[in-house]
Amino acid sequence: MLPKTVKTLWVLLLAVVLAACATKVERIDVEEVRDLSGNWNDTDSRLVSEEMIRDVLSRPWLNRYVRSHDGKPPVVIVGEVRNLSHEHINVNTFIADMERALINSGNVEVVASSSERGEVRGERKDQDLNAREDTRKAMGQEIGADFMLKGTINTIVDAEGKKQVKYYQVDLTLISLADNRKVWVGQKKIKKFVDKRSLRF
Amino acid sequence: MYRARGRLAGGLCLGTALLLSGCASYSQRFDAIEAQLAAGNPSAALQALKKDHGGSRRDEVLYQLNRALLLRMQGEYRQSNEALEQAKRLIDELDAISVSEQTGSLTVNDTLKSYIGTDFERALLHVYAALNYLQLDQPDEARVEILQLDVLLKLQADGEGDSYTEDAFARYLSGLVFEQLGEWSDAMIAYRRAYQDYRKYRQYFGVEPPRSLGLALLRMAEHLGLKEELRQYRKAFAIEQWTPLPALREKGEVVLIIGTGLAPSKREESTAILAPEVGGMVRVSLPRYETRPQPVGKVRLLVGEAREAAELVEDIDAIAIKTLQAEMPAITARALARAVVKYRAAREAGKRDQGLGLLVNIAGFISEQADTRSWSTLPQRIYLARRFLPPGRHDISVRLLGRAGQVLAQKQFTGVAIEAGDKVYLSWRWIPPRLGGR
Repeated sequence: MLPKTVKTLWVLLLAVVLAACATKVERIDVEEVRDLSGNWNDTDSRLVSEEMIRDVLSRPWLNRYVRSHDGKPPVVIVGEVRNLSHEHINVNTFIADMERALINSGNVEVVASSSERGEVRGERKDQDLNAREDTRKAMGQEIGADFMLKGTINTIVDAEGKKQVKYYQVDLTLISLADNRKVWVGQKKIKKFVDKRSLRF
Repeated sequence: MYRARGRLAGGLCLGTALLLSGCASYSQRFDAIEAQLAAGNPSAALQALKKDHGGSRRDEVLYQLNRALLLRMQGEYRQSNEALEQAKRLIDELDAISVSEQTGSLTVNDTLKSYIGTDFERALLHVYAALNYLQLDQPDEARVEILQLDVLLKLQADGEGDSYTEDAFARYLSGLVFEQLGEWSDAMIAYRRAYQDYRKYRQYFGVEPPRSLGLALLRMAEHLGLKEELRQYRKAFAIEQWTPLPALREKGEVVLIIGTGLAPSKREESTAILAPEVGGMVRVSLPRYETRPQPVGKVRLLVGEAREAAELVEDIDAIAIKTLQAEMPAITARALARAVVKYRAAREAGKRDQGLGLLVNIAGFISEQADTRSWSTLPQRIYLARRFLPPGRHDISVRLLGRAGQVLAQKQFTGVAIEAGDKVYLSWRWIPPRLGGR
């Protein structure tokens, strides 16, 4: 027979082990900032896209365009954002964030990107053959974009031992498709200091 | 120590032998997987690997690394990269020193430590991830790996410098990626670094700077107008003629990476070393690399009538052995510390009860095991061949020649599409049907 104290200890230990094994799920708000690894995350993507779009829409090019085009808003296409960073960043969520911010502002019109257009054209071709005539959408009626938004995500990493400084720089440029003029250049920087733990159990 | 207990000791030895045969070391368990590889059956090897991996977190990194290379051998580049990504994340997590594992390694044995790979294995992780991306035609993602590799190599170079602090092949590959993306100055920096590292390789591992690297350096130095460097490389590589970069942009390039054989595997070796704390000899188990025969003499690339030699760019055999040599003092010190701890525990127990003392002694003896874990699905050697070709479809074949010039194996790539100004990566992994060595 085991002494009583030993028994209690066993029960306690078992309880601790079992508690550690169970998966714990906790819902958090999408706005909540929670940095785990120090890598580029959803918060970075959201913050950068929102801030940069706010910037691009508050600059003089927009008013100038609207004035010279009888109050018509410019049509923008979001082009490629190249990932030149140290991380495998999902650029698609970043582009989606930017498109959303642009469209919701109501100040510009956004047309589908080249990959999306392919699918839409396929559908139109299919309509041409299979859809009722009064619902059929004609080819060659697409709106051509006036400006293209494109850019890069760059990083500089400085590391020593367990410490790391990560510096992200997102550069975006709005280029006029008619004459290659750069009407807006935006930049957003994020700096993170990551101190990895050096001990674990 | 137990001379007085003659009969008992005999029984003890028998019991120990029986028990020891029950718990095979990591590399012994790996033999079944290697047999499948030698039979040219990577999917069966993957099955065997999955069966062997009991979900032990300590060996998880190694499992993912091996899984990645077995998947790569089957052309599953995307899945292979998922496995490498998992290994990377785990290494990052496990890189912190574990208190419990350290205690374990100092009292029981080294296999209680989580495996996070040696320096060269961690560098090659990024190299293989980059190669997978290149073969998936995602050069931007390969570039990400190259940048991560750069951070890693810089950190490794900051550590204590032994023979392997930089990876020449990794730097050469970095240059290739930058060149493909048209980033000339970055390519130049990477090629230059590779050349410096290959000069170290020549000294430590007997690997010469490849001629294809010399040509790349010449082209890049010329393009960037680095006259003095151009002169140096011309002399160093004894190359008088090359096609300048703008002319080559009208052609495409095929880059062929050939991995041959299997990396050496670690074996356990028991030795007696002097322990002053005990006042006598103690038996410790230490790891030792066992290399396999290396049958390849030459590797040839054949396109139409043209022949090109593939060059040796990485000798993993040599790097692994040198790395273990450098680690040996620390491993031996830990083994010795363990032996002393075990000896004292047995003595303390023996003071209370003779039988108990013996039991503790046996436990200590059985638990002494060398850490024989290593990324053993890596190739023994890596060869690389580059060839510029006019745009269009080409049939390319590779021939492995033995030391006597006989053909060991041949592989055909048919209808490889080459575009102007672009690079196409092809890979082949050959494992000899007879691995030998034991």
